[in-house]
Amino acid sequence: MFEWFVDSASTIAPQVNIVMNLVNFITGLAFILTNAALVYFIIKYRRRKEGEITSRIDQNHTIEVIWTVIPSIILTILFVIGLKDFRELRAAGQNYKEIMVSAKQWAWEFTYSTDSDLIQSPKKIKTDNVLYLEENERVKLIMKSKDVIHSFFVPEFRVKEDVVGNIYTYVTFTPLISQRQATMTDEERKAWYQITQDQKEIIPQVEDQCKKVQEKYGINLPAGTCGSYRIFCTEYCGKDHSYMLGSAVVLKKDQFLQLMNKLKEEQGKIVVSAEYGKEIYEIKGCKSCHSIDGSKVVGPSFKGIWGKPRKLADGRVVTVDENYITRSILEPTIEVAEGYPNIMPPQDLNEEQIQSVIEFIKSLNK
Amino acid sequence: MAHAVAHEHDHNKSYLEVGRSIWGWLTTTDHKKIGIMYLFTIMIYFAVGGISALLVRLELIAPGKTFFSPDTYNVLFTLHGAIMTFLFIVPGIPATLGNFLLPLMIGAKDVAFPRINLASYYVYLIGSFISLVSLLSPADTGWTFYAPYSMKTNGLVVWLTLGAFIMGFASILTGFNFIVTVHRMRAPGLGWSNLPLFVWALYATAIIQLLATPVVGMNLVLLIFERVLDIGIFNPAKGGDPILFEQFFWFYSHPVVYIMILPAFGVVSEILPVFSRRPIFGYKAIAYSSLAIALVSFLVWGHHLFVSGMSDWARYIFSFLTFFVAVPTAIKIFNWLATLWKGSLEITATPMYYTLGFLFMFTIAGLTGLHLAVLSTDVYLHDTYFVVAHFHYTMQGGTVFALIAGLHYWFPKITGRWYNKKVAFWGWLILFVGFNATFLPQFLLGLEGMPRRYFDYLPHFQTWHLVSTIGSWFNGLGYVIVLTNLLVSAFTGEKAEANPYNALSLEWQTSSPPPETNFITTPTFPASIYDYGTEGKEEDTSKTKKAV
Repeated sequence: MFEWFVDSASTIAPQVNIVMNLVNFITGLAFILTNAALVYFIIKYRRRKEGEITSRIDQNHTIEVIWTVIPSIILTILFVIGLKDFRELRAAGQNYKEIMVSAKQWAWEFTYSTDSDLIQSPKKIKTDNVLYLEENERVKLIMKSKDVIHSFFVPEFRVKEDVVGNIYTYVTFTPLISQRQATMTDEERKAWYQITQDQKEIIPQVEDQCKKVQEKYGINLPAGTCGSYRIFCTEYCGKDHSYMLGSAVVLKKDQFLQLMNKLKEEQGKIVVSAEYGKEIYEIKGCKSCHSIDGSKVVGPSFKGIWGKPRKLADGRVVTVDENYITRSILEPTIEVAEGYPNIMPPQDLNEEQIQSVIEFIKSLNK
Repeated sequence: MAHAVAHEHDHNKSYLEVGRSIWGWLTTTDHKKIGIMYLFTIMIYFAVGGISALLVRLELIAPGKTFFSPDTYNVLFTLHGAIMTFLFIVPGIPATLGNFLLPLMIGAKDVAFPRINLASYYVYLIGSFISLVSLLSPADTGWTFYAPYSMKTNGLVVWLTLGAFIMGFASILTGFNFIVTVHRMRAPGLGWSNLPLFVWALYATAIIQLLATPVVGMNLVLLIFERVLDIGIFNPAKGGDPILFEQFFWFYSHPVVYIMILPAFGVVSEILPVFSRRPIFGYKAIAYSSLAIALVSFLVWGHHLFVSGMSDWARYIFSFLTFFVAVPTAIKIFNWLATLWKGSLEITATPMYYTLGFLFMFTIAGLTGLHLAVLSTDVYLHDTYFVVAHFHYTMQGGTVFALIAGLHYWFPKITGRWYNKKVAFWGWLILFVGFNATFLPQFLLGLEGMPRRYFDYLPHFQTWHLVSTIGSWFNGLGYVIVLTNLLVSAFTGEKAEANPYNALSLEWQTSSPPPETNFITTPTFPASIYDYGTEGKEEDTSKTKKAV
């Protein structure tokens, strides 16, 4: 039973479960029948003495037609069944909310539509690595990559689609809070979201996000109002492919609106600071390539570079100042540090964020 | 069977006694020696690819960083995939057993172009060396080289792909050589409908090698251009299309799956009737289904792109076509089972229990393919461990098991000696248990949603990863036992007779090992070379034809 392996948290999931169970049943039956025949023949017809009389029959049109036609019919039925649910998986319908998904090595960024009467914001709300969804509200995630190919996969929603650099791709689904999430005890929650000590540093975003929403934003989440599921990148994308994880958090309507308003507030009053710069450094994926302890990872370390000269691949020498850092964030392929690969994608950070990153880099000189 | 032992007392030298110097081997145009040179070379690469697989599994024994860094891990799985695919399994059965046996099976002295055959080996060898140059700064692209990651990463991707490109020519040369050989070199009177099914399988394989390999060659050259000259075919930052790369790549790399598995089908079709002492069931169906698979295999590459961003309509069509490649495969399995029916199965014979193990694992491989052909379930399973388990059941449980079955079956013919049968059995048992313990858990991981190519994973996946890693040690140990046994026995084993199995196909109608020219006197063959089970009856000479 497929449900034993994975939770179901979207309206399409139960349908996919039925198809998966059907395919498991048909292939399981075919496996048992063929291998039962195999074992039976091995036992029954094993050689007991030399020169046994064996069958001379080397063809039989009737049986050959039967074992060609029956599998063909079964396979055609399977095709049709798979096609039917696939079309539903791909059809957004009339009423859905759009969420823009931007993927890069190795982080996800989500931009929400703010056209609802209840969430009005001059700036679009953005979140990193954590996707907030309203229960029972159909969404269409419109996705594009800033660098290499990634793939968006949430097992509990049964959706997956590659995120590519030159076209927009999409997944669409109606999220639900699964029965299991609604009824998990505290111990069960803890066990399910348990990660290793190293992982806590690298991918805190896959810890229990329902708990986080309560603690960080002070929103009360009684049992059954929140479900937190993991997002996986399923297209190999380099060094930290296995850490390109996120969480998809499904909330009841009330809690979702409360949270969106909190996010709007929080993002409206962001001030430039080294602390905020550090947060950007951690959630925007900078830390995958740039260390802050002087060690060489993929790109140059941030430690102690402020105000110092930096040799570029084209031979020029520039000073690491506000302008250089801004250019390196927005157009990283133009002035590449010598000895480092030219692989960083442009980062679309806003003015406050860039200034905060500059403050953060400055603070590392101390 | 008088014709089977006609050359027992032949005093002519065997091919192994002619030109024994190293130079003699390196410059030989004898298809048998070329087959053996190929075999040694691919087995060395098999060991390298196998060790990197064991290291990959070792890292995955527990969540978190255990032994390697992410970069090293990515290099290891790339090495494993690239070596096993391009250096080991693509040459695989055709270049080794195929080279050795094809001329013998059709009563010919050699392949149609013996020197081109030798050239193919050296092209392969040079290509493999060039791809190994990349080890100086190893690539971490995965064996699929997906753009634009393969444009951006640091390793010597160009050397690896250039090597694969060059090895493609070796594959093309072997393919066209085999096609001409089957058409032009058959012994007089040996008609198409009396060819061994292994020959049919090699023929169908050769067609794919000839038609599909140029496409991947073209694709790899474009990738090299892209990396060196930065022209923007695949890189979206330069206006290119990364999905185009996937299309080109799988246009070859799906048919190549059948380059790997069709010869294995051929080996199985040879072994089963001999050890069941009955005619193969459905000769024509097996022969034609090989050709059908070769044809349909060109039309299903799109199932690798079911979640790639390709148009939805293309996905529907490729799903439909994918189901139809399953039909000829199912037919083969039914035919093999029917061959066992009312036979006299010598299940204690080493090649036989390898082949029966193949049947068990290949049904798993084939049936789990259906989960991936059904669109709505593939969306979930795509790029998870389910896929990894599925294609390892095909490639290792299928092709490699059949290769080893074939090596045991033809071992007396190739070396003139016997392997140690007890060791062979224990090796098989450990291999069989180890393989299944490694890959059955991976199906379960896939159903849980564990993505592939992950250096680290969330702790709730650990149980089956642990089982899989422990299984991999037995899997590796099995190969060490089996292959050491064969290697040692090749020099020290008991002498074998010319036709120990009373087999009817032509390679057994000459001495073991065969003379350099394959046959001293004219080989004879029955009207049907699968006419087994007539022992004890008076031989019907009217059914025996004489080749000239």
